[in-house]
Amino acid sequence: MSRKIELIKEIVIFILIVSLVCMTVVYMTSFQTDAGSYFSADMAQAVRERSYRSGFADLFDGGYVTPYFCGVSVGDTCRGMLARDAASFIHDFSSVWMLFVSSEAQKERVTQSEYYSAFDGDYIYMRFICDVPHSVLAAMFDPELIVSDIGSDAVREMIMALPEGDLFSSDECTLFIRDSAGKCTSYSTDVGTVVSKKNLATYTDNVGGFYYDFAYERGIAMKSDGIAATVVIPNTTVSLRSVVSSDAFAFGDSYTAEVASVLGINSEKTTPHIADDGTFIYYEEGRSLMVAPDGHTMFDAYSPSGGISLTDLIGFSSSSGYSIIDGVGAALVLLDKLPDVPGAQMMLSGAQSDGRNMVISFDYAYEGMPVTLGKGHALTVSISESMITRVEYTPVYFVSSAKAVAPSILWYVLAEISEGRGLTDVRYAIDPATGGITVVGARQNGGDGR
Amino acid sequence: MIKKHLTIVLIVILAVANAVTGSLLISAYYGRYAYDENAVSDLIGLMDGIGVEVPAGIFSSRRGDVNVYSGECTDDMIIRAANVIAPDGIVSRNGNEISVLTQQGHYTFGQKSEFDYKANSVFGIDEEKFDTRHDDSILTRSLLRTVRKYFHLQALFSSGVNSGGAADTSTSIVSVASDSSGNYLVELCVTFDGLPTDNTLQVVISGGDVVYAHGKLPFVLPTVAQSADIYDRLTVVTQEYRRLSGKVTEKKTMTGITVGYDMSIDAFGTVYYMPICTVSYSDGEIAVYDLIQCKLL
Repeated sequence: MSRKIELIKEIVIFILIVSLVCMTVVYMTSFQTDAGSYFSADMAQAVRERSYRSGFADLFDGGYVTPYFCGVSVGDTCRGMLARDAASFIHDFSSVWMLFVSSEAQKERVTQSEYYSAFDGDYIYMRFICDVPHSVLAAMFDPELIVSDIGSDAVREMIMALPEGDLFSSDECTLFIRDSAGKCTSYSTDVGTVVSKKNLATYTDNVGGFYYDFAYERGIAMKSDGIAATVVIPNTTVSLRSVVSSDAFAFGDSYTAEVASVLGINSEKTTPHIADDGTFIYYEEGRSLMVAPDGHTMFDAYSPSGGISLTDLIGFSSSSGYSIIDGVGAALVLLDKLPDVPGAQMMLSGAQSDGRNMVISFDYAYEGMPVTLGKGHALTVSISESMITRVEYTPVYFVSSAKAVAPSILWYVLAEISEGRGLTDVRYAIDPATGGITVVGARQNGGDGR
Repeated sequence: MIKKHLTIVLIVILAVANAVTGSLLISAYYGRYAYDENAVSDLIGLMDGIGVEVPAGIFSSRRGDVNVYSGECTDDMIIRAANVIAPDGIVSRNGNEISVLTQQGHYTFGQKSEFDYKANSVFGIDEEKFDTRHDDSILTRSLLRTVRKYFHLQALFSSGVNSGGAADTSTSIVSVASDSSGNYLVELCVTFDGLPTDNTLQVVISGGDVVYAHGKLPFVLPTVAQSADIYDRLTVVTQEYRRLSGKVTEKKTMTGITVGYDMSIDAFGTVYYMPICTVSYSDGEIAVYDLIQCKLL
């Protein structure tokens, strides 16, 4: 009897063990993930924010946040090229950007003579089409970088001074920047990047498209007068371009309805008031929209509820608040939705933030050259916290004209000369009356615009 | 005597362990695959109150084991994928796109999985002409086989191409329509672990040959799988209740709640496939939620 009980106990134990093992196996195989690590809600939010922000780059016309001209001077070889012919060249020198945007970089104000002394040795030189705020530039080249404050530093050109030797690591080199007002700053850091100087000179020979002797760029930058005599532009490499003129754009009801729709006004339900000059004026709760016959558009939100939500516009709500990148992105999304202006490119001409409010502005460019309208910006977007509270848009229609031709590179050179003579912040504009390009404003060093 | 007591203690311990494991198993099963019936009926009642009819069967099954997948995508990888899809073609770079020219047609591969194909004989596709829908499973399977074979999808989705394969990748047919000339417009969708992704492709098949394709294909399969806590469909519908309360002017019906993946790509070329839930309604409205955050996208 006792023997039988013992046997039953052993069978029960066996069954219990088998049952436990089976259930454990089922639990482990069916309800435990084989994923290697855990993906949290914060990580999901970060990925979505990064993804949306990287999408902003697709909306960029881009030319103004990359240099339009770059040059390399190593030993006796001095080559320059328009940056559009050297996209991969610039990409390869991402260390320049990294050095520039590194938060560890030692920043120091330098004199112009110190700045120009960088041209005495070997260097990489890059020049932008207009002054680009340092923070905006940094943010565009480092999507991870969150810039909450736009400082006063602007970049018109930069020189990366190369130390002696075939290879250099950036702990030995310094990046100099200069804005169009002549303010110079140096950045140094110990980012361990290695670049082969030997390859720099030969690299330019392999770049397809247009390149030219870099000497005059160098000369202009180093001298202050008599520059024109040193400018040499090989005729064989300069193509002629049409000068353009602006023309009235046929703005009609469909344009007004489209603009109203983009800015959140229901033009079917809201009846516009039409002013004597033909301006359509819409009033909705907390906001108004005015569209003039020439297309000039002004949207104003009088209360927070009347604004355009950044979340709705750019597709995500930021857990840490919106940065200047999001502000620029929102302006780009808005720009993308607004009716097209044929032939025009837009360039970011300003981005300011006090941490709570942002003002983003865009201006036109044609054939890579900035065009100033003389009355405000092409597009100005004001943002208060998470709402767009004001939008001002001035559409201009560009048409080609065979009236006059000039190589665009010549204008760059002339701009350099103007700066060399002490005229800074020179603005060229397309004059609708003559169809030509004229200087619409220039400042003496430290002076007011005239 | 001591042995006798030990045996009893062992039986008790094993019985308790079995009970605990069994309850864990049952709890895990219901937690993952079943919904609280009372909660479901309460929510259906609430939705009905705001003018949205929710069929009870919409909550018939529940899926909770959804991973997040990710992988790096470089130009070289896209070119490798291009060589698999269009072998023997002439590969060139056109801006941010990779172009491949073959004797049959022209392929383009974008950095964000954009994929286009146009046979040399095709000038344009008018999708509106494809007005006859087909649900025949034999036909759809046959068309799916044609597309898979033409674009070598079997080889593309094998882990050997770009060393990916964290997810079980395949394709499924979304819809099939034909025009009066007997050409088929096939919409297919890439699936991960059986769940649809937003990588969808519209393909036109004419005379048994693929002549046009436009959409997205994952040229690089994810290499990393990460577990994530996701919200269930009940929570998503609760969010929908909050969103739609007071805004439904005409009664409508919720026609589907589909769990799937959408692709996000950052500036560094890292591709993420994160779980989403798509809620669709009879009036055509669609709401897409991030299932990890339960946020409307």
